Amino acid sequence: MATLQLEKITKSFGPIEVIKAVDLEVTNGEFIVFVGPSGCGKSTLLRMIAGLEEATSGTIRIDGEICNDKPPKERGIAMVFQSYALYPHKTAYQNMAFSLKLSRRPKAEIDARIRDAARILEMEHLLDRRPHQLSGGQRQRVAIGRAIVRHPKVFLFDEPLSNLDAALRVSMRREIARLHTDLQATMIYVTHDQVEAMTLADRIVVLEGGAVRQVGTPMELYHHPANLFVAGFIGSPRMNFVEGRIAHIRKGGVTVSTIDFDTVDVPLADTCCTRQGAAVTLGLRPEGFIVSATSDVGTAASVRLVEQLGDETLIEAMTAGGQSLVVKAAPSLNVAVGEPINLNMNPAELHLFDEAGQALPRASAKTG
Amino acid sequence: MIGRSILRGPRPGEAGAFLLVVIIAVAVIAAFPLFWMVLSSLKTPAESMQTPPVWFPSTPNLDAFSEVAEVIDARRSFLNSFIIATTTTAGILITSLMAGYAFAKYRFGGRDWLFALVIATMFLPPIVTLIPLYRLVTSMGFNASLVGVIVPHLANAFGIFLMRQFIAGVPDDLIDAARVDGASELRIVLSVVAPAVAPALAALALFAFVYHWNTYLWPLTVLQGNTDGYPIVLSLGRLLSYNRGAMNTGLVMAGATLAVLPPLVLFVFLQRFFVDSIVGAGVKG
Ligand SMILES: Nc1ncnc2c1ncn2[C@@H]1O[C@H](COP(=O)(O)OP(=O)(O)OP(=O)(O)O)[C@@H](O)[C@H]1O
Ligand SMILES: [Mg+2]
Repeated sequence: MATLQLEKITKSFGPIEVIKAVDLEVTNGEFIVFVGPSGCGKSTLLRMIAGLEEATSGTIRIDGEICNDKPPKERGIAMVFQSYALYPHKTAYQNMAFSLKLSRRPKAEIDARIRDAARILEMEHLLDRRPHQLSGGQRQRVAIGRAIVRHPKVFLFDEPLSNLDAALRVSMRREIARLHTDLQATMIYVTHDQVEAMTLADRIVVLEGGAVRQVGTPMELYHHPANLFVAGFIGSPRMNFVEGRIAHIRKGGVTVSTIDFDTVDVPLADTCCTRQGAAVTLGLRPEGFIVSATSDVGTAASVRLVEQLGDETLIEAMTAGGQSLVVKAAPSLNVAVGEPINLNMNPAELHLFDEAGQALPRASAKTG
Repeated sequence: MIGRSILRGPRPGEAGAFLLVVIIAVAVIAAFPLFWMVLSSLKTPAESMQTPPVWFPSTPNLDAFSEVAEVIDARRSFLNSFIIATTTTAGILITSLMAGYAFAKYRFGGRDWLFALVIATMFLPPIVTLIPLYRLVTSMGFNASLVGVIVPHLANAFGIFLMRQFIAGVPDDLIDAARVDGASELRIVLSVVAPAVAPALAALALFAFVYHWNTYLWPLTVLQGNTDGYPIVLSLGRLLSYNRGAMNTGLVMAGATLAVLPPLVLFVFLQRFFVDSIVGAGVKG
């Protein structure tokens, strides 16, 4: 259990800067998740914290101590790899014992720690097996066990569940959540699975192109994305974007004129940073639309695709102006491809982004 | 090795049968001298000189073998051979593993050039380096000694190349996991990398042992007539020139039979490993 601070961390491979001045402050026992598209530098950042990769500049502090020049073993971290990285010729027991043997712990203590970890992970019966005799989920358990026995200050996970099938992923995800509650340890977790990020994280760090785009609780990111990238990245199906212009500024909000939706009133907490005529982007999640197949109020669109998920229905619709939108409707709504529907925007759900893609402060105080 | 894959092949049709015949023919041709050697060692001197040759000794006997021990110090020669082959093999295994690991897994400036240089030495015929190497060894004071025979061969390019190729196939995560677990680089090589490439190490051990058991020219050059240092292969030469007037074929063949035994035993012992690793290498491409 420990704190972790990253200050102006950069990393270059040759001339290419893959991590750009990342600052991050992690408090004791926090569960932090790094998300971002493939190649954005999540693994690289994690590996720098682990000491497997050297930071080009900046400082890394674990428990207040600068550890840029410390080898991994002196940082008090443990890491779980996507590929499990179990030693193939060692049994599960020997895999877990390896680090403890290297640090010359007494045999009895090693055994006690391994039994303890095996009990927590419910894998006592697997201890004598070699990796090739284990299923994917069981291997990942051993890999997590190998991390647990070291009693690390910080746990690092690099996409630990991405090699597992969907069902196993859900159960392992819950297990990792439980582990975090039980151990109260600081954990840093890399994933590009949103559900994992949203459900596990105390705070999420959204990375793009090696830079941090936003840090916040899952609900903060969902309800108050700081920019277009985060708005588009968090939430599935993703937020719809509609281009427009500020037509009018009034107290407590602005009016935006768009091609398809005419004028839209957007409530804002603060209107100081806008000016009339500025290009803006409206953002609205699929559930922010009011969908109707009968009323003729609102914007007309034609249905392009219907996905019935049982508890809700996703509709991809095209407006007259050629804008494609994904909207969520009640399962009772009965529409077929090609049929017309009417869409209205729920003003409370609207997001507004300026020309640079930065969010304008929303009026609603909904925060997780 | 080829035989195995043919026998396991999917279509043992006509082509398979033909190949099998070819393989058997090749095997017979290759094995015949060995077979003849063993037979001849059991013949009486008169029988070995007869024309047309006698196929099977009428009274197989081991006289020739005891005579070998009278002519040369066989025990000493074998010991020398063992010392040369085992220390050289051990050296090659260690240096190949270490250098192969560095070339496969470290990022450092000039790595690829350095590796190309190592590979380039493989294309130098040993005869070219014989004299320079001899002068080097002499200048180091290892002249006419076993040390001189051994030292220049403790590392070799083929071994480094082979190990680099196999170690490149060991996942980086495995090595990183060991680093996180607190293993030193040496510990990683011994506890993580070596077991992962064990079949290749076994194959390399076999190649190296057989090669250095049989090597002739280099010990002959370095030892400079110091027969106390002669490995068995050089001592066989002495059997050949013993009693120059009438060569005693049985004697020479008995010596040769003894000389091939240790590599043969090692081969049988490592055979499984050896076949597996070459097949594995093929699959890995
Ligand atoms: N050893 C290396 N040499 C050169 N470039 C590298 C190296 N390792 C990573 N990179 C580059 O750094 C960038 C970030 O890589 P990284 O593996 O951290 O991405 P990631 O966010 O983990 O992606 P993914 O989700 O696919 O795992 C990529 O553009 C990658 O090509
Ligand atoms: Mg990655």
